[in-house]
Amino acid sequence: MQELLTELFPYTMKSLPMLWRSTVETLQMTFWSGGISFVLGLALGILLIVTRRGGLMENRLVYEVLDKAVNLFRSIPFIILLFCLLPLTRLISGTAIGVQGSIVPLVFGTVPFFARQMESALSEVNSGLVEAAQSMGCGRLDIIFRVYLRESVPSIARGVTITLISLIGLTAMAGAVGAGGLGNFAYVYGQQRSRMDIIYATVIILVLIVTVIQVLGALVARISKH
Amino acid sequence: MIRLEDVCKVFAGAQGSVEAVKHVHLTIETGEIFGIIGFSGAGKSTLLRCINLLERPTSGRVLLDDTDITQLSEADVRAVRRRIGMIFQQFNLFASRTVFGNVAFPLAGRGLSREKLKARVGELLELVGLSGREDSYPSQLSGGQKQRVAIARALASEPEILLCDEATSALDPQTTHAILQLLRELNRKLGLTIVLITHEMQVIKEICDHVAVMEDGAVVEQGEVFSVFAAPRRPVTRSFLEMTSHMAGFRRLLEEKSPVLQLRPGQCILSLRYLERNACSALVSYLSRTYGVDLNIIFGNIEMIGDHPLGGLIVIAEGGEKAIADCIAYLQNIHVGVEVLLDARTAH
Repeated sequence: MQELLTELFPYTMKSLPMLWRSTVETLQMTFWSGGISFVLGLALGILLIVTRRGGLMENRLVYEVLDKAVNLFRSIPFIILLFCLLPLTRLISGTAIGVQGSIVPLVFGTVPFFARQMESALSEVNSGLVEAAQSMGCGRLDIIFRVYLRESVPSIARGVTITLISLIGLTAMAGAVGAGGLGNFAYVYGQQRSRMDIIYATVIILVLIVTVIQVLGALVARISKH
Repeated sequence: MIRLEDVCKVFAGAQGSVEAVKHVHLTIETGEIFGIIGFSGAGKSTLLRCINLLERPTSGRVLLDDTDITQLSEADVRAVRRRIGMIFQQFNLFASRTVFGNVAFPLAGRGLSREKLKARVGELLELVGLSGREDSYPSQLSGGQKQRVAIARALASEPEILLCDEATSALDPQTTHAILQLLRELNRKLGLTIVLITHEMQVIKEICDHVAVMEDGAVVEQGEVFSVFAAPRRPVTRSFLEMTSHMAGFRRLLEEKSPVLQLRPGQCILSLRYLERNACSALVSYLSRTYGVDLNIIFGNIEMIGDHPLGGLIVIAEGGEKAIADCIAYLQNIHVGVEVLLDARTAH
């Protein structure tokens, strides 16, 4: 086994500690920016749902501003967003490189996408359920937490899965401009040194990570759907 | 007691505003079952939602035991809503929650212990005939069972009033009947005031005490169910009556010029409608014997509303011209609504 691996992935086997560190970095970037984006994106998705026309707290101005802001950030290619955000990143994280420096641009790149996913997940909640809760004397917060969020757990799980997978794609891009992680590893050690086996190895690891996320997401969606 | 005073609801739309409810006055007594019937788009759903302020009336007052609830603060309105249960055509159960979770939903945040909550939910499920189904999910239940869960949920906060928004319209006839019986039973057992809206005459006939007929946003007739339908004053009321009687079938035959309605000279077709609560079942044989008129029944439809028969017959009358005229005069005299639908008496 060892021999086979050494034969197939000669350079990779020589830089295993580096590969391991890069994988951990990718997971760290995904975890932190994913966690922050989840909270912000979900909040934004809820705001979009409740302020839209006919929503619980209909507010034309808030809705239009948020809606346009989301569109604006979604239309900027991530690689350009990275450069645009450099000053802000330094201000918030103190550095623009490494895992720490990647969180701000990753969050900016993910939140708008995730907010749209959440908006569509929450809009699947039948307005009749909201009406039923209102008829029982529920307040707005009650309805947001006990009806909207609770009823859309399967759709939220699907949205999280899709977003996490696209987020991993973004971490690779951030890696190529100095954030570390598997993207950086494949680019610096593989592509620039023409060591194709390193590129293939990172692909295999990324496929594994994506598969695990997908299986977990599908599982949550299935368990929570009745 | 619920009183609606001059309630109007106007929806602003892209193509101008729509008056969904126009100057409605209604009084609903405590403990009665009040039906509002109308075709779709008549505004009955909007009117029903004005009672618990899911729709705020554009103008007018909604009085609940002499308190105008349109003047209350948002928090007070929520408190009022807990006194008014509501069930829906599409049941609106929470799919992510079990039957227990659904029925317990309105009881959250009341500081009930787990045991008390369990006991209360058990009680409510027993009341609607669904004991032991606590752990089922709505997707595992039939339509009738879903509506029973919805009723249990609506009753959880011990409301005085239950609003039913086309609650049986998505159910088959047997299930409709069973749910109506349940509503009747709850009305008697708990003294629950029930306000229901429907487009089905069957529902009104089966359980309502009073009825309001809505057309184009306005209440055009209201009163005791029997009086309203025994002597309908408006075409819309008549059309609801005809939906369940065979008048519609007769009209169709008339339009198609069916051979059944080809009269011989001297015959005429009469419709007899019972207007008062004294309909005598021996009417036809009495007329034959007394006036020597042959009455051939071609349609008949008599329903019991409460304890009184309501409906009528369509007959082909044959006999002497004078005899038929006497017959008609007698019927009018005993307050049977009589109408000559087709006449071949003078077509010699």
